[in-house]
Amino acid sequence: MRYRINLIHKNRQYQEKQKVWHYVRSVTYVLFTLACLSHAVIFVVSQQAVQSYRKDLGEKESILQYLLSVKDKEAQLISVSEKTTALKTALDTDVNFAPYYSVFQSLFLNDYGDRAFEYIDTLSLDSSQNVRIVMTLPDEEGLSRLLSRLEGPQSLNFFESLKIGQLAIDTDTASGFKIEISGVLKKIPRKNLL
Amino acid sequence: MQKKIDPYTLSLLRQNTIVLIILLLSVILIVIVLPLRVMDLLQNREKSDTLKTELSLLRDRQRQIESVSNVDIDSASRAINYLIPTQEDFMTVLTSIDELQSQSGVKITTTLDAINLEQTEAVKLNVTVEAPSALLVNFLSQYHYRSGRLITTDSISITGAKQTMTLMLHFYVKKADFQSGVVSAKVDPVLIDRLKTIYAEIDRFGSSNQNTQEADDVEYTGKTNPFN
Repeated sequence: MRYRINLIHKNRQYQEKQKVWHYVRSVTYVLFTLACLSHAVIFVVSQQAVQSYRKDLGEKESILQYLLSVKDKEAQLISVSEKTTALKTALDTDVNFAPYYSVFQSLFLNDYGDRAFEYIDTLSLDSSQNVRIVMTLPDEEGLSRLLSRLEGPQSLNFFESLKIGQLAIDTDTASGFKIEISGVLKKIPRKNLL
Repeated sequence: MQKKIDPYTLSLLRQNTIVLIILLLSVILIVIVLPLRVMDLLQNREKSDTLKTELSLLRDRQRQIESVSNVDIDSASRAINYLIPTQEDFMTVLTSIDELQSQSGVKITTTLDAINLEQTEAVKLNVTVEAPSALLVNFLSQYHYRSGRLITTDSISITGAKQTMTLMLHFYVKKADFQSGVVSAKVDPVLIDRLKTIYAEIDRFGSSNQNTQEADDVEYTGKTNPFN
């Protein structure tokens, strides 16, 4: 049997096949390069991550050993920290009476010296600075002085709001001059407690 | 009928066998191995980030302890444990009232059924204080620490003519939370100095003797193995 080859026709087919294989080779080189590069990058990044992890692990180990050696001190630190926070919170709810009383005394009771306390029927104060004072003063002059001081600038610095609830003047009996004051005091900062 | 591969194609296949193997290998590397490596890397990174966060907290703890290395925290600890003990008990409250009474020179009366030790943060006690006016005023500026316990009050009512006042005393207890407290624990050196001064005052008044056992009580149990 004899074969006949049409060289002109076949040559065109060969060239096309060559082209396809050339394209396949190019794609292969590109993909291979890409695969190698990406794996190399991942390898380097992984190595760095592993080294960093080992370093951190070593540091963690040494810090934990240090913390174990000072665990009593740390316990003290936590205890002091939490309790001082509790102490500050507790003091914030305290009525902090002393500075208010000293202003109150200088405003209204200085004229009566040591006997001033006797003229207070009721003096109540809460931690929101709500105040109620009921006083029975022995003389009319004292009452006038108190009323003028209530309207004065010192009183404005002391009271946030002020109301005179009751004013009873009974000159026939010896009960004196009763006055009831209520209102809200301006907050006086706490000193030297903490 | 089986299709025959023409000789030229066959020869091209033979020539490019290595190229085909490399192509297959590249596809396997890119499609299968690469995603696995990337996932592995991401998991490691996550582990590393967790470790870094943990380490950062541990560094903070170390820094906090080192920051108070020159501070006398023992005295501060003793002072604060006198003022706010870890556990409440009936006797300590009564002793504090007694101490407050003797230190301030006032007469304090209360009803025993008013003490409720069930309260977790503060024991409240309604008391009546009797004394000459000067002592009452003095008492009001000193009741906070003088008994050796922290005492506060949220309201005071004075009856001047009778020289008495009624007030609700609050006694505090606090159990430190060593698990969550480790991160937030911070101590101000100025505060430490102030606590030391208070401690010296309490000590001078003699109130510290009643609470000596309490002062050293921090009830902390650390791990024997830090790596667990």
